Amino acid sequence: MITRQKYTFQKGFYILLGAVGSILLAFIFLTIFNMMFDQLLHPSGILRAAKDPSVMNSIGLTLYASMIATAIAVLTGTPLAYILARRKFPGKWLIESLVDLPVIVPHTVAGIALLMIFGSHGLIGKFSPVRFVDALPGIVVAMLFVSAPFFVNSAREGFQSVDPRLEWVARSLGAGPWSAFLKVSLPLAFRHILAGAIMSWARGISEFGAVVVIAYYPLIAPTLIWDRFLTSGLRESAPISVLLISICMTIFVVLRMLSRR
Amino acid sequence: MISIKGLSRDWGHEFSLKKIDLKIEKNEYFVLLGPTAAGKTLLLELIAGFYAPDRGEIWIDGVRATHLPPEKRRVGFVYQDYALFPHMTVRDNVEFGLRLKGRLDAEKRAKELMETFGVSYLAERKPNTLSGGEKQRVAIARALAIDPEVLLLDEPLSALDRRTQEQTRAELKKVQEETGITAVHVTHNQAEAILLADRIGLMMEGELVQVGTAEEVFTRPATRKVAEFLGVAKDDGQESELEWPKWAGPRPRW
Repeated sequence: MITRQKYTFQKGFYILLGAVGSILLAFIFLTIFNMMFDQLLHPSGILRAAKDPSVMNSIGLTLYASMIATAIAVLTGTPLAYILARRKFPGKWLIESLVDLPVIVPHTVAGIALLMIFGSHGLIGKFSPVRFVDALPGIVVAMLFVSAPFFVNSAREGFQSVDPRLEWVARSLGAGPWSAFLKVSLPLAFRHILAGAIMSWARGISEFGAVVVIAYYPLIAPTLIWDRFLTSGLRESAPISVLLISICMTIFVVLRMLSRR
Repeated sequence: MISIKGLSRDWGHEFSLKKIDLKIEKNEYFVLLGPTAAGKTLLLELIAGFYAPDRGEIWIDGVRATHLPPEKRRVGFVYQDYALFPHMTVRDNVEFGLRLKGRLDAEKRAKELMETFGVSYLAERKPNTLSGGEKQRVAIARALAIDPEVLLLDEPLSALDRRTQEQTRAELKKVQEETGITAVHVTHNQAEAILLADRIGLMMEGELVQVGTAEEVFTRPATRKVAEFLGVAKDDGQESELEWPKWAGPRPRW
């Protein structure tokens, strides 16, 4: 009897939580899928967008630029994540806050800050042989700035989940710090690193605010959508939006499935 | 041989090691005994070089090892939960040290070791599919693969069920005698200490309070705290009952 009562109590409890939680779920679901269904019912707009080379180019550019930004985040963020996971040092909280800073900075602000340093009169832009303003490198740094925290935090979690004693045992078996890292820590944190890279790539693709300030051209998909929305309204921008998120969702579902295996 | 002189390490709380002086002879089976949080595992980790001491020296086999990294110390380490590499098969675990040393006979040597420890049939399995006793034997085989001078064992029996414990305890002693390796074994279990140790080192609150044979330690505890921990403290002239496990055989009279 007691277990039965407990069960019914739990059931009611979870039904209530589920009911409240589903408000949020419905909000997200309806917003995205309302747009998709609307466009899929009249697919002529999507077909037109898919045949438009400027649309497909901008989507390709978006995926490509975000991939470069993610590669930079992985190469430079992995060592940082490892140090943050393993070492204690004075002022560590400052470093951690710095890593998280791009998340709280409004993205237009990030874009302006980037423009001020990578622009032709900026600290880096002045001396750089490559042009950032209205060019691919500008898009990449904007995406890197906003997506790096997602990668670093995920990789750090990954390294934190590796018991340091495994590294120590590897050391006692004759591994130097490098091979202990490469043979034990890195493979064991790999899933987190991969998940972080996927998140970072997704974040880069979805960036608009920072990119638009430093590099309106060449048009990445979010900028193109904004551009078409201003000139032709929903009729032009909605099909491109659906096309973009369909492509992204397909890629992410595949990547997620691959990374779970 | 391990020689430790004035070894201290402060962690800023109860887990501090205070001026440890200890000499462990070659081929000796030395047991570090003490209650939890006495600093036994930390001392073991300092010997292995996983931490650096604040003060003091460690000599392993005539080499000043105080500031040597773990990979240059020739120590094998077996943790309580065995710390097997979860992403590698049993074979790869055992071969790990051999491959790093670039030994050409890695495969053959690993095969021999797996046979010695009766884990050959597990060679292609991953650690998370093994029982505690199996993991234990793999961990010891992995540690011994690189022919270390010293085998460091952190509570190697405490995660095993009683029957496996008895069997493994006997195996440990046998392996140590056959290889002639110096073993340092950490435990809080008194019977385990008595049955395995050539000598026992008693640790309490970060200090090494007494070193001696089982008989010396149990009949002449150095301090009242030691006596109380061992359960041989005299209280109003009455000897309190030391709980002697049945499986340890008849209780010695001392």
